[in-house]
Formats: sequence, C-alpha cells, structure tokens
Amino acid sequence: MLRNRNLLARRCPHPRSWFYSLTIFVSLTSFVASADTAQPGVFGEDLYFGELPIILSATRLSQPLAEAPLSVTVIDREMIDASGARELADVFRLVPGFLVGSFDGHQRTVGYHGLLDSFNRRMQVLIDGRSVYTPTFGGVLWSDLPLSLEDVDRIEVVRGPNAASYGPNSFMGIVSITTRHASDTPFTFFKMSVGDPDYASIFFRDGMNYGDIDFRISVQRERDSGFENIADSKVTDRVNIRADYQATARDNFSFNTGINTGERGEGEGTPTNPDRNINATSYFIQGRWRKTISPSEEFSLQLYHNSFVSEDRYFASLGALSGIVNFNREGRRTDLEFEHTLLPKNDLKVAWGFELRRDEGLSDNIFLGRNVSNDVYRLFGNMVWEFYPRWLINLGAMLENNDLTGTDTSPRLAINYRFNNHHSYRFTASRATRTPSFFEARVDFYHILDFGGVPVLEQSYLTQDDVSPEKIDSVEIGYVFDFTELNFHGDIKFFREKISGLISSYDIPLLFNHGLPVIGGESDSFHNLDNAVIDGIEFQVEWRPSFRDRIVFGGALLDIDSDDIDEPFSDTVPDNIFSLMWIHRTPGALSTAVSYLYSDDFLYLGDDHVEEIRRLDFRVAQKFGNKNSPSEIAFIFQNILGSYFDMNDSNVFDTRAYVSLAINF
Amino acid sequence: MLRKFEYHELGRRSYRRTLLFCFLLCISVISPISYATSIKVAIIASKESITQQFIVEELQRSLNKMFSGKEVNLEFSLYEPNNLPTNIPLHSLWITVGFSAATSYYELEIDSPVLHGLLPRSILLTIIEGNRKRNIQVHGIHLDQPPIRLLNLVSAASPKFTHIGVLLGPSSSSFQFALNEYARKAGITLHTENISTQSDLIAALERVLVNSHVLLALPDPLIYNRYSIQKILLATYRRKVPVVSFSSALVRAGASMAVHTTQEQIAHQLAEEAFSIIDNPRRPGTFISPPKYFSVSINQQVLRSLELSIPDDESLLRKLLELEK
Repeated sequence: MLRNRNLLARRCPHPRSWFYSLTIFVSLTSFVASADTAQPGVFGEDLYFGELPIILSATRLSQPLAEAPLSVTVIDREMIDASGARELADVFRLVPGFLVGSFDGHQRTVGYHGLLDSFNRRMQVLIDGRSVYTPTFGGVLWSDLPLSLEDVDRIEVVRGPNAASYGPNSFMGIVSITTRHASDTPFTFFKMSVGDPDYASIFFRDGMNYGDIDFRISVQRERDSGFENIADSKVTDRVNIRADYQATARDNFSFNTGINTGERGEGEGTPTNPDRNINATSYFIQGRWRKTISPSEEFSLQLYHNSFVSEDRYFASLGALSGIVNFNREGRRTDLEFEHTLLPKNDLKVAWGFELRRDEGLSDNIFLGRNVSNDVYRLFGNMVWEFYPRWLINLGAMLENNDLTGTDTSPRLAINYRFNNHHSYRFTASRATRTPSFFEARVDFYHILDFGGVPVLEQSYLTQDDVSPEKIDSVEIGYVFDFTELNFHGDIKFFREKISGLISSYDIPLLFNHGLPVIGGESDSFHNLDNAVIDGIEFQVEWRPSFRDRIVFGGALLDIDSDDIDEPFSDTVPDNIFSLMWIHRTPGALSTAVSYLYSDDFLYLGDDHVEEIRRLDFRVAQKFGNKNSPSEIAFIFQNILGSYFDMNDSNVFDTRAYVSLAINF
Repeated sequence: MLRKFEYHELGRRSYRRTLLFCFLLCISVISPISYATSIKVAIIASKESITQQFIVEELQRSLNKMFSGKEVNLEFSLYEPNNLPTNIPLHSLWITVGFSAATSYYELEIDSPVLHGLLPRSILLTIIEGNRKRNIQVHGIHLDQPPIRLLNLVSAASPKFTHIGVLLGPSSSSFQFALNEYARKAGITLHTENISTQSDLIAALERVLVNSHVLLALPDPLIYNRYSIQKILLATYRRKVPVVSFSSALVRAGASMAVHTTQEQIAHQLAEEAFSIIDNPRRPGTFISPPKYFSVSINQQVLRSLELSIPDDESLLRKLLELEK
C-alpha cells in the first residue's frame, strides 16, 4: 500500500512567462510559415516504379486481433472524443476490467483487475514507445504527463502480462499510447473548454510541413478546482513538439519533446497537513530512427530521457512536535532501445532487441542516500509463426537484469487457431515480474522534528529486507469472433492470474536511525508476503448497425482469492465491471454519444470502500463552418445519474457539465 | 534505218526495261517496307533512370523481334534529354521515355512522328496540349489504368466492397461520369469527394473513409504524390480501409492491392505502337492510348493485418482479363 506523498524538490526551472512567450511565438509562426510547402504538382515515374518510403512496414502493422497473443482493446480518436473525457486517465473506463479512481482532483489511479491503491504501479504505460511509469514510486502520474489528450491518436491496451513484447513492468497489462503523427495535423487548431468544477482549458496546435519534414507544436493551459471542500485544485501548462522526418525512402526520424508544469493544491487543512500549493514539473525528450531495409525487415533505435520534479515543503506541528516536512523528490529515466524485425518467410515474423536503461531517484530524505539508481538491461525476442495452416504460435521471452533484484525471465506462449474467417481461438500462458520501485526497495523516508527543543525522528518507511519482484503467472483461453457482414466483432476470454510475492508494508521495530530516537519506536517497511489468484471472464464487442452508429460494450466478471495477511487484497476487486458506449452521427454533422459505466463496490487499499458506481455521460456535438476545416461545438454532461464517492468519502463526484469549442483554421 | 537485227536488239532492250519497271512497280505497291531497308528510330531517355534504361533495352529488343524476317535494318539512335546534338539526321520515328525526354523532343523543331511513353496521363496531355501547334503525328501511351480496370479489381477482390470511396482532383475529375455509370450498373455506392487544393485533402479523406469499405486511388498528382501518400496510407490503415491503387510502388509502400503495368509490358506496348507507326504511316494527329497490358500486385502483410481475405494476385489477374474480354 502506498499513500500519495507529495515531496519537496528544487524549484520549477521554467517560469510561467516562458509559457506566454511561447504562445505568442506559436501564433506568429502560424501566420508566417506556410502550412504546406510541398510541391505536389509534377512528379515522374517514382510513384509508379520508384522507391517510395514503406509507410505500412512490418513494425507499423498491428497484429490482427485473431492472431494476437492476448486480448487487446483499441481506443481510437472517435472514442476519445465521444467519451467527453478531459483527462487521459478517464478514457480507461472504456477498457474491460479497468478501474479509474481519483485520490484527489489531480492524482489519478488507473488499474486492471483491482489491487489498486492511490498509486497503482502494476502496469506498463508507454507513450510513443517511451515508458512513463515513475521509477520512484512505480505508478504513473497521469495528470502530470507532458501530453495533451488532444494529441493522442489511439490507445492500445493489452489486457494481460506481456513483458516479452513490452518490457519491464508489463505486469497485469500494458497501455500503449500513440500520439498523432506530425503530418496528421497540418492545420491550425484551437480549442477552448469551460465548465465544472471551475474548469477551463485552452489548447492551441499548429502543424507545418517543409518538404520531407512535418512539425507539430501544441500548447495547453488548463485549470480546475477539483473536488469540493478539498485543497486539490490544479493549474497545468503543457507544451509538446513533434517532428517527423522522412530523410530517405528507407530512413525515418522522429523527435518528440514536451513539458508539463504547474501548481497543485494539497493538504487537509490541519496543522500536520495544511492546505498549500505545490509545484510539479515533468518533461521528456525522445528521438527515434527507423530504418526500413525492405518491406519485410526493419530496425529501430530509440533514445529518450524522462524527468519528474515535485516540490512540496511546509511547516507542520502537532502538540509539542513541530518541524519542516519535506516531500521534495525527482525521478529520472534514460533509456536506449534497439529492435530488429524481420519476416524471413510469409508465415514467420521475428523480432528481437535489447534495452539499456538507467533509473534514478533523487531526494534529501526519502531514499537510501540522496541519489539512488538502478541500471536495467533487457534482452527480448518474439516469434510469430504459422507452423501449420490456420495454426499460429506466438512465442516470446524477456531476460531482464537490474541492480535492485538481479535477473528474471518473462516468457510468453500463445497458440492461436483460426477456425475460419469468423472464429478464432487462443490459449495463452504468460509470466511477468514487477521490479519494486525505489520507494519499495530503497526507502529511508524520515523527517527530523522538534519535540520541545529535542530533535527526534519521524520514520515513515525504511527498507529492511531485500524486496523481491512480484510475479504473475497468467493463463487464458480466448475466443475472437468477426462477422464482417453484420459489422459485429469482439472477443471473450476466461483467465486465471496467480500473483505471488505481493509487496506490502508492515511494521518493524526501530528505536534509532540517523543518530536520533524514532517517534513511536517503529517504522513501516516492505516485504513480499501475500499472494492472490484472480479468475474471471472478460469480453468486449463492437457493433456498427449502420454507418451512423457505433456501439462498444465491454465488461469483466471477477473473483479474487487471497490470504489478505498484510492487506485486504480480496476486497479490492469488484465482482463486475461494465462499460457501454453508443456513438450516433446524424446527416447534419450532429453527433451524440452516450457512455454508461458500472462497477460493483470494492476497496482502494489505504483508502475507503467505494460503493457501487453507476455513471452515465452524454455528449452532443455539432460541426459547422467550412467542411474542409470544420469547427465544432460540444456539450458534455458527466455523471447524470447522481453523485458517487470516488476512492474515498471526501471525493464526491457529482454531476458535471462543460462546453467546448474547437476551431480549425 | 535500223537493220532488222538492230530492231530486235532495240526491242529486247525495251522489253527488258519494261519488265524491270513493272517488277519494281509491283514490289513498291505490294511491299513498301522492302524499300526501307534501313529504318532509323531515335529514342530519348535518361541514363540516370534505371527504369527508363530498362524500358529502352526492352523496347529495342521487342522491335527487333517484330521486324525480324522483314529484311529491315533497324538503326537506333539513343539520346539524352537536354543534351541533344544540334544536327540530327532524319529519323522515321522518335520515341521519348519519361518527362524530360518528352519535353526535350519539342525543342528539336522536327516533324517526324513521335511516340511518348512512361508518362502519367495528366502529364502527357499537358505536354501535348502545350505543343499543339506542331503539325506532326503525336502518339502517346500513358501509365494510368482506365478507372474501369481498377473498379473491376475492387469487385474481383471481394463482393463485400459495395461502398467505394474516391478522391478526385483536377486531373481525375473527368472520371466522375464514368465512375457514376459503373456504380449505377454494378449497384454499388460511390462516396466521392472533389478537392482543388492539397490543404483540403485530409478533411476530404476523413469524410470519404467514414462511409467506405475501400478507397479507390485514381492517379492525380494533387492527391497522390510523394508527400501525401504517407498521410493517406496511415489514415486508411487506421480506419481499416484497404487502398486499391494504380502502381506496384504504392503497394510496396502499404496500399493493399494494385492493377498496374510493368516495365516489360510498357516496353512491349511501345514497341507494338512503334511498329504500327512505321508500318502504317498516318496523317498528322494525336493518338493517346492507355496501357494495354497489366498485372496485379497485392500486399499480403497489410491484408493480413486488416484481416481481409481476397484471392491471390494470379486469380485476380485472371478475373480482370475475363472482365476485359
């Protein structure tokens, strides 16, 4: 269990005036630079016989769902817009088996099949191939990601462990977010939204093209006041820049960078946890080279660096105890990855590669030493082979070595049988591990307080034992159906997930540390103790009864069995989770979308028992203006059916409404 | 007065001359080629283009084969575009391969018949239109398949493709009528968007893709060019809409299938047309032809990823050939 901790760090290095200057620069650029300087008019025989860049190459082509080793849910741009979601985390309510919670107005937790606390860390999350779970606490800072929802093109969610394909931390599931290609957004785009609760957002994006180079820059500021009567407001500024360069017919380069910075409200209004504002900044820089050797062979090389800095430091007192509470922290990741993909034969695809990564955690008083680091080495290989007509084998494995826990292997085997064009069956066995975060494996979280003039130590957490990786063994039987004539397709799976070595906290006796007496003579520490078995049935179907209608329905029926020695894990998995979305487009450029979400009651570890949630959202949007660059006005109503408690009794999610206006120039 | 012997000598000589004259007259009427013992054919093509050089070689080989047994000596003169000599001997026929070659021919100010090859239809028409004043025989075989041939490929690939999306631009808008006629007869639904500037492309493409089972790519430089194909292929793939295109290069880039003409087929048709021009001179005029021979290519990887099951390329070609009979 991890409660959210906001820690003090260095001051945000990017002053707010920089943001305004950049906005003005971008606005000027859109008028100065021509939107498209390509010369389409004259072309020779290249388009017929020449060497054009291979756009749909071996790595870009996704595996058909009938041949995939695990269930995959794809959330495309239409679904993102129809959901009315303002934040990335909320989109995941549409994925079967997923739960989304709010610790407060700017701290979200997203997880698959339960076991959630305020900072779920049992999932790999990738943005354009860049892993964004934090090395410090292991989870994803959803509201602090340097990514605007408007720039997301699609999200693929792999429901199950697949470390062989997606790398470390691909434990219970993998979220792979793809942003729009720079050439997809050649227009100037502006979007403004206002609504509940004191919510406002301004988003601006411009795309430029210079021959073989496409650029995109997007800028956003948003704010809202969070839940009522809680100091959890936020003001967030985001900037993203992306460039895609087709250097030759065989070489493609992409460059991405982005920043998310802002103030967040914190505190409970008490002397030990006063209301205050903290600063949080995250940024990244990423480069990728994709070399297409032939339509059946290519390799890619990627280098990126992520950084997150949080600043939270305040004076607290409780009776005779007082002192500076320091939650400063910084997490960094630098990563180099190489992948080679080839199709030696039509029925055989092979991919292999390696990854070198350094994770770092920096803080004055949280980790064992001011700077902890973990070097990770990964070697992986995957093979997809139609060894017999209609029979496919997906075999892969990852070998990982890291400083914290040594070497682990994560194999994955799937056998797919395509009965005919309408029915496919799948058996999958997969193993993955979750390396403990720095907070779980290298923690020394303390504060020096004053007790009537005597310095004492408040020790919150201290690493005592070696903490091993959590391990998951998953087995599933899947059925994929596709009735193209009826525009009806989907999949259903029966699964069992055995999780061992769940990391949980427990009390340890501690009288002295750092030369000072410890208040209470104890601390929390982490160890591997509990196990859990989660069984269930999960499904999703999509039906398009006409060109104007699209219905997506998904759900999970879950059952968990755990000894609950340290934590009540058994209570963290709801029996049922369902989601339904219906998108309807009328001939007059009006579209409507209805989303219904249901989950049974369950518990968030460290927080409260959440009652049954029934949530109905509605969106209506009207396009207008030039049909080639249309504008759109949309009205969104969230949670029409009434209030529910989101993660704890203080977070009352009531009915919210907002309006957005999007203009293409 | 001639003696009798001299009369007979004179008579025999006159008779032999008459006989020879009649013989030559017959030969000239029956077989004019027999007179052209040496036929000069000039070919303009760029040495830097492997495609053009391949076509030139195949063209020469095919023509030689066509003229074998006809007691004709073909002489080929090969020239580079933009590097033509000033004094050029007379040729029976000029053949240009590619854009530079075609435009450089009109700088020569000669009246020999010309045959243009390896040009898209729109470019060929533009070049011919720009030089219409020249009173010469102009022949052209362009690269672009007749739209009906691509539509036949759509129907041969799958009967489920009943909604066909088409983007039309300035060079392809003239096909609208033929497309509508086909759709009416075949009972399919066309979703057409016309664009006049490239900035309209993305929005028009999105509108077309919403309602279409397949995107029919008709050649138009404004729509399908080296800069736009990335956007088009990515957008269609995301929407799970296969692209039926007009070139093997597009299939390699990611289009699902194409009906196209290979370099060998282009060379062979050019040779046939050249043989026809030489063998049967016509009056000055313009004679434009589409490709006569064609092949089918499919991208198995893309089709598999789209989970589309269609016949193989040989089966599709057989069906198309049957439909064209």
